[in-house]
Amino acid sequence: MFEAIGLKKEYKRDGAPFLAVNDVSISIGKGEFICVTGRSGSGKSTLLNILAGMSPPTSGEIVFQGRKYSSLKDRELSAIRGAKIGYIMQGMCVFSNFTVLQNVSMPHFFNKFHSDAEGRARFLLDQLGIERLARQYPPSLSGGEIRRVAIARALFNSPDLLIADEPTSDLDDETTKEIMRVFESIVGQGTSVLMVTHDAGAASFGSRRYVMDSGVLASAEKNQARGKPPVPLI
Amino acid sequence: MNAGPCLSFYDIAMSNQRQRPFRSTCLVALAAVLSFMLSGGAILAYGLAEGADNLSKRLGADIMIVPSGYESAVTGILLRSEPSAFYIDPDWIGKISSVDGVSVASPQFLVASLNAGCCSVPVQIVGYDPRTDFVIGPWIGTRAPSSIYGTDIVVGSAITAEVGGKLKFFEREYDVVARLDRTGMGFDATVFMTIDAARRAAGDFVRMGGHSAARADSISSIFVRVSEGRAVEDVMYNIQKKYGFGGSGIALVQTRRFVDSVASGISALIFFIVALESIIWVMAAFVLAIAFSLTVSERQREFGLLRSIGATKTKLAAIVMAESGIVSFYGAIIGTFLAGLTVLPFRIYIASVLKMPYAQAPIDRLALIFLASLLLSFAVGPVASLIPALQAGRSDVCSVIRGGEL
Repeated sequence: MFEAIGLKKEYKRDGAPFLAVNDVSISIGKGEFICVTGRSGSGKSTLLNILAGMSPPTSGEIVFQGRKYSSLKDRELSAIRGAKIGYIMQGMCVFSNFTVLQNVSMPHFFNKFHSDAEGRARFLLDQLGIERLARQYPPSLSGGEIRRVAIARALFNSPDLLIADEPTSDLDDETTKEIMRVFESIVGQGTSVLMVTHDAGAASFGSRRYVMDSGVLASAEKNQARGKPPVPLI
Repeated sequence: MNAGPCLSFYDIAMSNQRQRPFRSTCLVALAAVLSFMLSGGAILAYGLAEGADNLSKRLGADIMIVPSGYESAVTGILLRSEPSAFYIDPDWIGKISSVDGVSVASPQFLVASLNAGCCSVPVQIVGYDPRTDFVIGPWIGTRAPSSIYGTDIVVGSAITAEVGGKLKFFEREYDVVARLDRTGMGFDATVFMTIDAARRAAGDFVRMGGHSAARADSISSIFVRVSEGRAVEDVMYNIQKKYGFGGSGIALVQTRRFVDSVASGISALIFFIVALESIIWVMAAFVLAIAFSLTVSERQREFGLLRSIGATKTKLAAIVMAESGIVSFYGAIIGTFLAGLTVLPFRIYIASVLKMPYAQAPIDRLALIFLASLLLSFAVGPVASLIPALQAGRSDVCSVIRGGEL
């Protein structure tokens, strides 16, 4: 369904070239739950942004459902992002000047897939147990509630691939488990999930696990088989 | 804002403006000041341009004869509503009428009034000869009497008196029998009566303790129309040849040259106004551009979020432009409304304070001027946000979403 081949992303750091993503290849099948762990600054978020089509790679190719990113215009990539990919960003990734309901239905402004946007948004909020917060503004919500709002928004257009960047950071264990159960449920419905996390407990939910180190992505199992020490998570 | 989930461009742009109330208020105020100045300047420039275009046509006479040294005073009366009084010997009417090439010579007698009951500013009293007049008569509207007598007066369009009413000058009542159409000249703040009545008014003035240099039979000026087919310069030469080039005590003012010099001054003033307004517009655009650019820089994460849910670069740019459009729209509305509130009721007063009675834009054109100013003021926002809007679309979300962390 989704394949990335030989991705590289180069930046300048102190005037010298610096590879934030170095020759990364990964494929994601339908209904897979893939977790990527790694140190801060290892290039995880950069990789997610490239995979979501928000930042072009310096080299390499991404093929999503048979379409090459390199051949698509911004409008087409945006349409894919709006329709096929749900993206949960790191941190406070909601619009504080809009209500929870408006936040969740915000994708409807860009891609009108549902005739009943409010019904779809309320359904998702109900599924995530925060329907009662529909008219609240994000500053009055807890961290866990905000993550749920972000998840609901990412699911608004029923994406085929859900990309989540540290969805459980700063959350307690119980809330983390709740969020992971939501992801498992999503995966159970056939949506693929690619999650970056620092949390070993959260990473254990993945059906495949990868470790990213200095821009290089490697299978966690392969790392262990080669006798490499596990990469510290924090 | 729409409380439901289906957001519009307006909802999103307006919400972002409300989130930064102080900044938004300042930007709206800036746009309002710009709009106010554009409207005010446009009205003044338009009035001036129209005044320059029509001045020659309005004046009617080819040559004006005034006492030597009073050439600028007649300019003040005609253009700036500055009451004045000066006198020449009445024999000059006969002398000028007899010059070859003179078709009509019509005398006037001036009395400078203090504030009258009708007006908040001093008015000029002009005595004219209805039998020979060709300057005042054409401006009297449809209810023009065949002639005026005794205490009849004709008032300029800016004098607040009704036809059929009365006005009092130097403790004598006069009957308002007609009103001039708007001339855009000093005539608008002038009261006209017969020369005899004006001389009597001057006498009243002296009896009340005023000082007047007028003799009982004085006149102040003579308006001359040359015979058809005769060159004005030739007729002026004839007058000067017959009565001497110097020492006669009179000065000849050629209307066209006088108008040309005024028109030239007006053109320079209009150029200055337009240049000033252009500079103000560009400066406002720069200030707004800086403000929007800063805003876009601090909202990179928000734009990254919007991109992540399917926003194209074009839509991000459109959101930024919609926000700037809202700022300039409200600013333009407020500024134009305030300009209207200021200009409409006080336009005659403002023109008189500026000593430019001809700078009053006709009321039927004000709507057009306000609309043009509104559009220009509104345009400044979207124009100023063009580059910031492109910045919003161009931002590399990779580096901004995580605040620099890779």
